[in-house]
Amino acid sequence: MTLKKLKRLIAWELEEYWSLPVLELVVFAAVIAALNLPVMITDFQERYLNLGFSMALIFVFLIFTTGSLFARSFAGSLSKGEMKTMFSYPLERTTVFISKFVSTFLMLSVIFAAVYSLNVPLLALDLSEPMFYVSLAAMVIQLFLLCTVATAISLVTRNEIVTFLAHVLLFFGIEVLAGSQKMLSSNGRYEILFDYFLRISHGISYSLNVSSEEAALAVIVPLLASALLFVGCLFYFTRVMEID
Amino acid sequence: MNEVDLKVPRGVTGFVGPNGAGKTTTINIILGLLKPDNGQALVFGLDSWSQSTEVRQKLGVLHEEAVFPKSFTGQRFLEHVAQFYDVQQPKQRAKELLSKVGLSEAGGKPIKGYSAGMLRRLGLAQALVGDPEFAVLDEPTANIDPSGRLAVLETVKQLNESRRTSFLVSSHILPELEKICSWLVIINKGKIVDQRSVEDLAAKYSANVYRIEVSDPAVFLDRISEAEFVEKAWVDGDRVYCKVKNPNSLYREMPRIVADLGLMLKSFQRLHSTLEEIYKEASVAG
Repeated sequence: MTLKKLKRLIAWELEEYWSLPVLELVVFAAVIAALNLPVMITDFQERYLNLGFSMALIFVFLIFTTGSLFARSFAGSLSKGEMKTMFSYPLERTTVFISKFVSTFLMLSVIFAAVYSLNVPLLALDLSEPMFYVSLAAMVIQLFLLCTVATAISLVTRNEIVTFLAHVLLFFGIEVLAGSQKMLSSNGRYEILFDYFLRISHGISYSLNVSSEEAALAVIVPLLASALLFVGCLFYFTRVMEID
Repeated sequence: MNEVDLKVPRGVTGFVGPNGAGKTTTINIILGLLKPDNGQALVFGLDSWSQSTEVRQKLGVLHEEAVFPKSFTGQRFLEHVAQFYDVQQPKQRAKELLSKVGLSEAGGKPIKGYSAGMLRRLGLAQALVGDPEFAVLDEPTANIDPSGRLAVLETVKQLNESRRTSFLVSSHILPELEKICSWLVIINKGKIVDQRSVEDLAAKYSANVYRIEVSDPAVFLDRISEAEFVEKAWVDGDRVYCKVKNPNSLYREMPRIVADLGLMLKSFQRLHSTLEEIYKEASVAG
């Protein structure tokens, strides 16, 4: 895989995304985030608790966005023939896979970052506050899992609509069914990390009393699952997948 | 598909066969899009599956249902593709190719506004961006109107002549292939039925019909009709047509008959079948 070609492919993908209504998506997500805000509270702990509530809604929005963007990038390209055209050029499959994944992940990150940064003025958050970055990192970990799952479903179904529906139903199903098993749901893992680091940094715990093992698991489980899915998808894409 | 050995000499090669014969599958295997169930497929001596990137570096391809990024302009799209082939001046190459395929004016417009004919021509341009020695065109004239089809074929012919690019053209429209092909590969049920120059194929599969022009066609017809080696003879205008069982007998006997009758032989020609007729004959023989 050459870095030069990877950069060119990412540029190609991002240029294609430019035609999508990205700005509208950001505005939509921002409206959701703003609607969720309670009356402005000056207390530090309450402000960051509000950020947690806000993230829960943003996560729902991310489930839809990740599903649709990855379905378009992988399943859509395969079913519509764009991938076949791409594979007519002297590009390694690894380069194509990584460029698609990275560009879609970048796109999602831009949308997420735009919405996340809205919380700064709306919640009067302090940018020097470690919890701001903990919250951000915890969400990015969940986002990475969303992306790898969407990629895997895309490659299996090769159908844009089926991928989107399966992805949304899977994550909503998990969020709903997980209940008190916080480690199983993305929101639950986010809460675990938030609570643990809030206690570490400020000596405050709002309800969970998370142990360090639980906090470590909340990082390791999604990262490991994402890494395994990523490697599996990459292997399938580069070594097994046939395109008719 | 089984033991397919495709020979594609320089020039324009037609790749014909009925639906489901294996044309697109062959092309997909050549490009490394499909993996052979057993054994390996070699293209330029390279394994088409494990060395597909190297194979594709030497090839240009236009798929039957090629899909291009609709939001790009034709020019921008070709620039991107040129960079994949490490072309030194991608903008220049894109412009040059758009001009070659007659899309200079449309080059600055988004692809989503292109007609089917324009898309096929853009497809032809992207297949040639890397300046390949060899380009594979799968149904290059599919879904386009007659004038558009003619334009695509003319472009292929011109590119073959001006750039010395060889083409493998898969198509169902044989009269069109006839205009541009010098070599033909016939495939059926996953096997190559025959592959040779169009002239040789014509000689092999054409019906043994000869056109003879003599000074008195009616007298010549009376005599030749009685010959044992003649299956059927008829006159059309001032020429006599003979369908013979054994051409060698005709070659031996005909000058003698002409001389015996005191006639003058003006011309003598074996009639070659159309590509469509050759294809039918070859398919039956295969």
